[in-house]
Amino acid sequence: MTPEQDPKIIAAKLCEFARTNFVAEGVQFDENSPLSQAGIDSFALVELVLFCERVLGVRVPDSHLTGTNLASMSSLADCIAELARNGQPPA
Amino acid sequence: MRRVGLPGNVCCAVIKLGKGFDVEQLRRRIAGSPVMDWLARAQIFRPLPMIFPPLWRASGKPQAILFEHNTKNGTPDIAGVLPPEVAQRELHASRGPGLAFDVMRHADGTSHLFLSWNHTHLDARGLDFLLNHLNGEPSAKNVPSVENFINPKQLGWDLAGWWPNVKQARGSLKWLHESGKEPLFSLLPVGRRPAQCRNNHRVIYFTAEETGRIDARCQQFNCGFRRSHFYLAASLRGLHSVAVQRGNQDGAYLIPVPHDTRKRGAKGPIFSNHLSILFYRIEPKFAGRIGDILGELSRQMTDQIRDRFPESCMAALDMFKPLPLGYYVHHLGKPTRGKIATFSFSDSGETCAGMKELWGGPIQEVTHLVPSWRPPGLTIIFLRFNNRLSALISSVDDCLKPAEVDGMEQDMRRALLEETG
Repeated sequence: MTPEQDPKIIAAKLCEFARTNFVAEGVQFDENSPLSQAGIDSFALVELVLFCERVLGVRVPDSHLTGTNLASMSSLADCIAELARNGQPPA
Repeated sequence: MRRVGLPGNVCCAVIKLGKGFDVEQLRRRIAGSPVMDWLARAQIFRPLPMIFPPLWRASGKPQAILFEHNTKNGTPDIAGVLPPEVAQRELHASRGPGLAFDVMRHADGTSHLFLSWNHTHLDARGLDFLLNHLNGEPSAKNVPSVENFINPKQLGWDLAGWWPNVKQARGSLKWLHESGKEPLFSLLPVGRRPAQCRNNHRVIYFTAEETGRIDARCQQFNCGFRRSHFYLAASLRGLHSVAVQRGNQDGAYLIPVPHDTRKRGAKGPIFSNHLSILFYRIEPKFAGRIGDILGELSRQMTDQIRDRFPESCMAALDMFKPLPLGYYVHHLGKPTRGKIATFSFSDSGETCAGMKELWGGPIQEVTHLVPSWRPPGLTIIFLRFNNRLSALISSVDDCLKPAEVDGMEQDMRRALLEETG
């Protein structure tokens, strides 16, 4: 699998996954929504990380799950894109 | 104190309200709410015991659920100790009603609201939704839909859907068999269970300043989104110190942690339990340091979600629900020979989020008093209200001595506020 490197595409996929799996219908949620206010907890975070591995082909190490990278889907997408560009081994 | 056992599976939210609380407002909202009408009449029943699955029905006439009491002297300190009127109220799932409001009005104008509920009817998040519903404006927009009353799976028998559950449940049962290997640590004393056991409650309150420090430490441990892992690690540190003092530090700790399966930002469902479970097994060599426990929790959680353990666990619970209760208890305890949990742990998150007052009375304090089962004999619940964290240590009297609870409290405080690494 070739890891996805475009942050916009990654952010769109992450948002779609979140809307389908853990954000309730009718809740305003996009790539710039603060994840801390969207009710993202440890469980949802692990689901997101595994989605990145499975679908985007990028393994996100624990050390990259920082407050800055997890501010929003947009910042997480930037982190994933950078990992993909730097040759992060496919999951 | 409530007695331990199935009829005692009653939780209680203790809400301290300032001056201005109008009980008539609450009475009107209860009377006008279709959700409350349904909840006051809901009962679980078995048409033919031991053969058919249990079902829910609404009895013909609603029963009284709001009770008023008056105290003559100021505001008593109620933290951790229920007044007898509340503690002795039995809320049976099969007889109904499954919940009750006790309003205790004090001479100084303040009040305590005790909201007791049978755990079969609601989980803690469901209670929060119910309070939001009752505290809101009585408009059509604020009436939850019928799907919020009850899980459709429990309205009728779905025997065709039972077999797929059996297949999906295999994974979690296999995991339990593998993880339940001895040695496991247990708080249960050797010998026969006393005829009557009682629950003791200890509530640890943290100030806003201390809560801020705990939040900062979560960030230091890279637990910004895993605060419940940090709380669980601190609780385990506390219990491990008890094990060390008892000279019994060779057993592993098996900890089931409920996970709310509702979507984030949802307004329901209110009724029933919507929980799946993650099981952690922490070996004693990891239980001495917060950093080691966090590492294990993170690794095991990722592995379990990768293996779709929570879905399998939910399927197992759905599979067991239709079976006679005795069989359920026997079979669920079998893989670990009754030690399915070293202790129960839950993080209820933010309680009464966004609510400043209830029916005119400013909310001053919220505490959840939950029962502890035997086994395991210990339940620890964390919750936050108004940016302040609290932790409840609920224990069964013959499993944990008062001095050991004191030690656990000190150790948990140290782990949450000070310990490094």
